[in-house]
Amino acid sequence: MIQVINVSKSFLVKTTSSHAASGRIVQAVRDVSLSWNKGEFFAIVGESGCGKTTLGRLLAGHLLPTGGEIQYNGVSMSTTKRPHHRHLARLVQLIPQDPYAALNPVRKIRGLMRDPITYHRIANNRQADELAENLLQMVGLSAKDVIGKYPHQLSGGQRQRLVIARALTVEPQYLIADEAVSMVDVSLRIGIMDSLKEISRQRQLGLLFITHDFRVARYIAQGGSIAVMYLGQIVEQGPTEEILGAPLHPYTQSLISAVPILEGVEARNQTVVPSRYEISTQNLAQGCSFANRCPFADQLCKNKAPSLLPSTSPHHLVACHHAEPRELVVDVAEPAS
Amino acid sequence: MRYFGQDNLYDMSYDQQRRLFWEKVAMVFQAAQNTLNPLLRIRQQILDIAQDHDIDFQQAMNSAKQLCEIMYLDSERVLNAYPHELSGGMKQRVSIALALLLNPSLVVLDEPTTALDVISQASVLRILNDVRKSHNLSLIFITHDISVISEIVDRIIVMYAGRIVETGPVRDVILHPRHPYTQGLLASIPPLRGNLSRTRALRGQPADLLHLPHGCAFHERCPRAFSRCRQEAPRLLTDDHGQTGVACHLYASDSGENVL
Repeated sequence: MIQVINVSKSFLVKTTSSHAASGRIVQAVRDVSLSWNKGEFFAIVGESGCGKTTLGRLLAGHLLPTGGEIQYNGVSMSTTKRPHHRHLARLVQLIPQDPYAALNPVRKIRGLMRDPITYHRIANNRQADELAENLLQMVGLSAKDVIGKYPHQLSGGQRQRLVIARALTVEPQYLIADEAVSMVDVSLRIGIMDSLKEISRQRQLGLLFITHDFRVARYIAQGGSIAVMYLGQIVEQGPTEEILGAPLHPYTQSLISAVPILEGVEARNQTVVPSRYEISTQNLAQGCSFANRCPFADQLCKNKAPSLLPSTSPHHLVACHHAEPRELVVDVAEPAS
Repeated sequence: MRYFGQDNLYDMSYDQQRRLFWEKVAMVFQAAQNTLNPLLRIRQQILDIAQDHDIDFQQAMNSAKQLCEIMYLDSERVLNAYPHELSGGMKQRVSIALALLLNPSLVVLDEPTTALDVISQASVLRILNDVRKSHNLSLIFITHDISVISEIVDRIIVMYAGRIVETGPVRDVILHPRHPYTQGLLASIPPLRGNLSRTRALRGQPADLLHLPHGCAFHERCPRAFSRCRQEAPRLLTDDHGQTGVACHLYASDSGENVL
């Protein structure tokens, strides 16, 4: 089990521009707590800039928290000695967002797959090739066609599958996929998500999917749970169907209202529109961080920050003074197959 | 190619073509951040367009201000800003405003929301819908994601490997897709509510235009392909005055359809 306990991460932004004063501190993740079990499918949803990628990198051990701690089966990453990191790094693997930037362009697929295997001393070179070929087949690539190629010879969808195969080389127990299908054509997304789900199910992996798209989040975290992040904090968390059917936080509601619907197949019941389109940190000294965009905000929201507490059910948490379930989208028709 | 009953575009002089584009037909490109000149303030880019099309500067600025209002942009700030000072959603709205500056009749939008966040995307779509009605515009919206357009467009054309495979009113196509490719595209959009089990992946890779298969270009990925699909490319069969149509051998025996 992975436990995130009151984790915060801030960055020092050194650049000077007309907007940011020099040495400004950006709090990317603020006081986040969650637990994540092996075999559990979990989605984190939010706009860009909400800290979801930073949280993913903290979980994968690429970054160390500036506050709080992350425990892997009871062991904290920040207190362990360096050699032990290598073991923890194998435990959690991050599938990067951009499969174009994640692959060394001058190395062939064989080498790219072999590196992590030999670094972690999982197998010798000959066995490594065999392992690599098996994994490539597993993610739906034809191993004998791609193994001698360079990354630029593969399509976007193939590269996405390749980075998934590479993450599996070190036999992780947890996978974090950061917007793993956002760069891929809609027609190919389901195929990649199906492979990810199937592999995770077979190997009993924990799968955390970071996305801005509620359709993708629901498809991955079917039967699992979704957490919604805003400006570094989790504002709502609960079972997937509850989050989509009866979202409580106005931010979750505006995100769901913003998803374009398939008219005729789905219909809008009501919509929640934020009073401002852009993420904003103005007047955020105290109070709820969504207050300056929230259509339901009042004086209480501006003065006092709400905490993440159980609401309609013990597993459905929300941080809002005016939490109220709203059904936004309904299913209206079975489309012809 | 003829626009609005005018002469063939390719017979026009360079000068005539330049009058046509932007004044009658404007385009919004996929990556808005790349269409704005990074060295010029938005105000200057508006004046450049005005100068090129012999429009009075004051008049151009006035319509720019009006457009900013429609786009929920703070004209005071945006017009004096350089592109890098604006967010992605704002830049996309600026490039839509620039496209509308000369009051065109037709706007071509190439994936105008792909680079945007969900909430910005929703705002751009809402604005496009409003502008379309208030300015009596025709929009051509190019996208790979059918779910984005169903609330905006009237009619849809589905293309595969360079050809039109299906066309029709958007509601009909979404509720009753006929071509197996359209069916596959729709089945690959996971629903927000309701049954997830009807979501299916589309088999195979997109067509390689250098090595198109013989017969129907889609047959290798098609779950319903039969022998004729491997031998002969289907023609687009249309009815309803060319408003609906499908290019698939499964429907070739339908009688009463005009052959285009």
